[in-house]
Amino acid sequence: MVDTNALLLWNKRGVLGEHTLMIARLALIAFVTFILLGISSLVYSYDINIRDAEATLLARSVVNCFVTGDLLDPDKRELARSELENEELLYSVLDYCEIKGDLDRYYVRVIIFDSAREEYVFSQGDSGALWVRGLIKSQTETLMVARLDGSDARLEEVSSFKGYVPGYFEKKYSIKRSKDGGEGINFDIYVEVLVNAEV
Amino acid sequence: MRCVINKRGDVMQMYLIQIMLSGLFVVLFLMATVQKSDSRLVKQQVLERELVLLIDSAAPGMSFVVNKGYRNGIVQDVFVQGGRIFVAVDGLVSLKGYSYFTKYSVVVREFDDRFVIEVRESG
Repeated sequence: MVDTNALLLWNKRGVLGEHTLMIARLALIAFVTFILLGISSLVYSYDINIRDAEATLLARSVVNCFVTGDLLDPDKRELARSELENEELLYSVLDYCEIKGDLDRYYVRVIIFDSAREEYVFSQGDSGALWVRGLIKSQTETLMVARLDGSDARLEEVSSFKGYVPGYFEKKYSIKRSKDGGEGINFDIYVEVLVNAEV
Repeated sequence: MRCVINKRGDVMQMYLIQIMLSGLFVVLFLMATVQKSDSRLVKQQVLERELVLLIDSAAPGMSFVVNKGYRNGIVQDVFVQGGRIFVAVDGLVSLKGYSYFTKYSVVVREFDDRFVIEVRESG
């Protein structure tokens, strides 16, 4: 006598096993598909990088904010110590220069050295990305040239190249501050700009 | 015999479901690949970045013309919002745009056959 209930129970157990296997197979197929999707996204993705140009343009705008020609603008940018200690100015140089837009990607630092070599530092933005710059900057390549010295040949280091950092610009300018038509006071202005990639 | 028949029917059903779902995944994959390999995204990027560099370096009073009949496609929309510029090309809408910076105000005007981006003094 066949136990029908046992048969049904056995069938159900078998079906459940097949379902479990099917779920596992589908999960595997989905996993492989997503991997392939990810690889194809990487292969076909294309990002036009203009960060170098943006960094140069932003540096120019910031420097023009402080300097007119080769003179520090005395009307707008008074270098009195009391103003430089104004925290609003110290950490919002872009706002102070009335540069508008979506500024989250930019980091700007301006250092003005006066004739007494005192530094006045202005900055704005996320400086955290600078540690990446520091990592890349520390990697230098050295150009070695073989020179003949009589009958001896030796290798001589002629120059070293810093690693390329996209979106980074730094430059030092020498400027004069007009003292009401009198003798000019020399300043150095150092500007550093880092433009991050769009998220 | 009954349990064998039942099992066979269940296996067939499962295979069908499996094939359908596999086909669905393959279709999704192909659609994503086609979208990624579409050149409209590159055209959009080129236009947005060109305009951003122009705006970044512009002085007040300057204006830039973008013809709707662009050589690589049809430019459907150009607008600025929140310090970002958005360009729609060949039905591809720009969701992120590209950010720019400027000391001046930027206005986009639409004409029949072109968009004109004007850089004006603030205020």
